[in-house]
Amino acid sequence: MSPRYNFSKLKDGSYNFISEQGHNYLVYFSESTFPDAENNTHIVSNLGFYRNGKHSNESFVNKFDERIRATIMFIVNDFFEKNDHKAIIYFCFGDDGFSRQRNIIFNKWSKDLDTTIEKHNNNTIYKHSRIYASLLIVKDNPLKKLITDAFNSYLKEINDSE
Amino acid sequence: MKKTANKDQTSEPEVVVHKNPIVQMIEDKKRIIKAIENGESLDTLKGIKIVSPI
Repeated sequence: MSPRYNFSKLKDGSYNFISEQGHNYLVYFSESTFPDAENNTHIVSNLGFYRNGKHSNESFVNKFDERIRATIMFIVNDFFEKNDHKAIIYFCFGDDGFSRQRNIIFNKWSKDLDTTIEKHNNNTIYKHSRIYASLLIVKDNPLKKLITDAFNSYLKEINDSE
Repeated sequence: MKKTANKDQTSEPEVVVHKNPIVQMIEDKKRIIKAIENGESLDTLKGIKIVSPI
């Protein structure tokens, strides 16, 4: 993997780094409760990252700077190193019509995930737009099936209601 | 779906809580995107818990 940028934690809890091109990247995790079919409640983190305060496809165009990919995937891998009982969901959507492209790029970046982590892809239609969702979870998580079943079930519920 | 009154000083309207957690997460992400684009700190978002897990 390419060397990564140094990043820092901001006052609001998000993480920030600046690329060699001078672009400011923000990475955040928001935490949500996630009930499963057996009424257990899991903690799932909602992952997001942005460039220069914009939710833009331009964030993924700079394929010549692999350090951006390396930095973000380091953060994701480190998340699981320190929180192996938790799961991450990453959504790709946008009114700009680039949700599919974001999903393709994230799938490519996910090849850098540690081998202990697996990814489950799904998608749904929500408010007339296609939303791609990826669940990241440690392979050995004993609650993996409950969480992935809930993930797929909730997405199907959204799709069925559209 | 239930509504929660927003008592903070953000520019956000009333916060809606969704029964489907995926819908909730999608809507949360939309609010976060809007806050970032408006230059607002994420810790001003009512009902959204930003964490620093690493």
